[in-house]
Amino acid sequence: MLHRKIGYISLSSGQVKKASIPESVRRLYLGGRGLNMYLLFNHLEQGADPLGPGNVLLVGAGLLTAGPVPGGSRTDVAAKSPLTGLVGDTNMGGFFSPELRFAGFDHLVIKGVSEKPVYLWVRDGEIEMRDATHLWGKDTLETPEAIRAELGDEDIKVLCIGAAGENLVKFANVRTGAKNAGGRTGMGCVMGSKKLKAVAVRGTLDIGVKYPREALEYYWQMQRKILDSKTASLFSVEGSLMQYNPTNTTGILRVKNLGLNRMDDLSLTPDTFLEKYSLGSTACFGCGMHCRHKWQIKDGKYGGLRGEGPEYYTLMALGNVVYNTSWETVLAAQYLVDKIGLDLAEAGNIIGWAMDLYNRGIIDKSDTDDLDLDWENSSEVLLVLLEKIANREGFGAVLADGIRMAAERIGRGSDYYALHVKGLGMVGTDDRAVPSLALGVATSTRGADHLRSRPATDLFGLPEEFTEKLYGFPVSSDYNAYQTKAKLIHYMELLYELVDSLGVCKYQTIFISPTFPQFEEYSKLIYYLTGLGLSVDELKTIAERCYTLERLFNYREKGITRNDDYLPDRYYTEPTPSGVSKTRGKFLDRAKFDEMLDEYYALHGWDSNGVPKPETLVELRLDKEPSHMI
Amino acid sequence: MEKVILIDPEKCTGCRICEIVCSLTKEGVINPTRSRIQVVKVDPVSLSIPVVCQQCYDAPCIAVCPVGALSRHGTTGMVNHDRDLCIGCKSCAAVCPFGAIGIDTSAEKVFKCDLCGGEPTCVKFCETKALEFVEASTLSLRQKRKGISKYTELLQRDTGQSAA
Amino acid sequence: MSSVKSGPYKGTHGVEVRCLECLARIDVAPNAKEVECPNCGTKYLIYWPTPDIAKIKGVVEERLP
Repeated sequence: MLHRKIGYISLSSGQVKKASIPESVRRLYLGGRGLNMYLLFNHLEQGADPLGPGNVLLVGAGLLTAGPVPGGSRTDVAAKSPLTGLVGDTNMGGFFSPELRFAGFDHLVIKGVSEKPVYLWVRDGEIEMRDATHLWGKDTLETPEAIRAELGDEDIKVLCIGAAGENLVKFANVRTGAKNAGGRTGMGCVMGSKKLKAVAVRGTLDIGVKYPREALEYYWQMQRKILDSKTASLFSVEGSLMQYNPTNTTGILRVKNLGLNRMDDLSLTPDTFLEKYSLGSTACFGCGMHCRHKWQIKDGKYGGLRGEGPEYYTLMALGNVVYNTSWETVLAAQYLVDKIGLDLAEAGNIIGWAMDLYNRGIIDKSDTDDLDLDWENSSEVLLVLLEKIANREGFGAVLADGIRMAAERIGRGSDYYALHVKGLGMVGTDDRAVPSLALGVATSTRGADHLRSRPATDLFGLPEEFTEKLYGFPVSSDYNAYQTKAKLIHYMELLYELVDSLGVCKYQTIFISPTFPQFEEYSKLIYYLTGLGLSVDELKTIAERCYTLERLFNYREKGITRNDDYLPDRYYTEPTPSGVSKTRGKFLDRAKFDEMLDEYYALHGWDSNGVPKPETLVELRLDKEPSHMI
Repeated sequence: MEKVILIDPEKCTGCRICEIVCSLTKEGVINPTRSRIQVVKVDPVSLSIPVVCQQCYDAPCIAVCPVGALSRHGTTGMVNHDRDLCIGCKSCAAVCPFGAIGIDTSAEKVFKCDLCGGEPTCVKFCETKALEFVEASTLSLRQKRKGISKYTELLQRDTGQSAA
Repeated sequence: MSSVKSGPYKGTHGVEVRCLECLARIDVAPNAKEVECPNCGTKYLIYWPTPDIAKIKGVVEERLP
């Protein structure tokens, strides 16, 4: 596992270099996201233009990806984000990075810009640049097919961009397989700017395991721990959609931009999907949870369409936020964003905002290419808008550079309704009633994003004696509380940094069930698989180092400080209109939020302005960065 | 008691855990191309079908082997591959109708499923029971029950009666 | 579909859901389509993703405009 190589590719010169990754570097940054962040900080010159040759695109497999670990399928793609100017980072499941590891590589560092469209062909220790002129213009389903035919191997895995990436839409995604997407922060746009259409990979090399017998035995125990639970029984049937009904009924989902916090129309619930459209389950590499759906629409406007997915976020972004109550439109829209390579999180958010403006009379048909963006018309306009954005056509061109720029272009006070943090579009949940979620989204190094820290179990009302055993400190069982939540978010940030660096799926961690694996289990898995002995405390330190490095990157590139760690003003002033009693009439208390921020910064070793303190940098060995070790 | 690996492709989710644990158990490394069982994915319908040695009664591989490295053991139900006798001519791999015999270019031999000595690892780790290790004598009875369940469902639907 | 996992959940003595209003446990009768929380009276629509796991679909009463 430790003998995978790193490949450096210059698209400008065509030069390819390969190197080993020293164990000393692994002990500091592990792999996946953590090591990608190190490479980003070291290889990107401060202030580089995200769409220029100076941006560095990083593709990374996790340290344990492809191993006998629960959910070991994840790929991490990073660069400087063209949407936010900050850490660009996205993570996806599927089969890509396992294949990259079998091909002998863990990380690819892609620099420069190609004159003509190219794709990379990575095969058993070799990296080749190939002409992609004939692939430019193909969607993300056609591209892998064409590459497999050209190279004569059905088992080639492909990471590619679609029309959105080619047209430099700032929230274009990267795609692999039928539906896996690295959505957030516009990594597809970076690929498009480099004229890099795809990375194709095929591997038949061995991946060594340090202690195979112990690894298999412990893996068996972990599988049982996870898969014999009620949570797994449910998750393997409903997938991530499992979260929809509890959060919608509770009243913490955004509806009509931020108009409502619960969708009372129950058309979009998993049971309807399972009954009418589901064709069963499929899985990512090495995963026994098989939470991914396969679906088919039999008749009607989209009759004959079939695909994989959807996820919970799909329902939030292409359902609730834009007030679309048609399952078939959700599925057709998901299929479309997959084909054109557009981030549905960002797209749903910006479309929800545009519709909000329209319904408030701030914009009208003269702005929207004559489209009627009435909430009731959502399912008619959604797919049209998505295409326009991907092709930078008409109103789509106004939206294609992200919500901050779109608000500047439209003016007329539209920015008050524009929901984002640090330029990244707001998450699908309405976090006004839940301080822990709010803190996590406000401080995430990507911008408005829940995956740096989401403490989903904070909603379960777990008693303090229980959380004390789980985290090592008690967390208030009240999800309206501000006290103890900074500690919770800090803890989860470290855990998810670890999980993303190992290349493991968060759905097989304490994300969805308090009984699932976390630090201790990963410490053992790392030891059996790689031989690296890293204690829980050492793993937390590594995670702390990676996370602070991300914060440092943001500070270096855009001077991100405390001022940027807040949700939009509305979250602190406008009460939620509905929900259960704990979520109704709620908004964030700014003073208490500030107290949480103070505590949160202290936990990370940052000053009261949210800047990493010099002594923290020394302690984490970040004072030497950029250190150019690899 | 002769037992066989029963494959139900409808239950296979394409997770490849069988490939991971097989190659790790038999070769000490993770490498799907060195796994004795391999899953073939049929895009775009997302169909996954595990393929493994069927331990044929009238095995073409046994018939074609020039040195007698392949033979059948009556009681275990297995087609046995003797690595010491194997000369790596690859005729068995070419003639197997399932493509279930692999070629190990570094060892210069072929490899095939040996049922892990009676406790197949792939079966153990398959979470959806797409792979089961069942007695050959009861296999057809199980399939009968599975087959007629379509009729019993039909009956239930048309008459409103329970088929119990 | 036959590919999904089902089977009794270990450790419970019946089927229950948690009330999202007050977090009390609500016992759910087999195949029930609706339940009422014994603690706060909130009524929920119920569905069954697997034969022995019940889930809340939405609230029956208490809908604000």
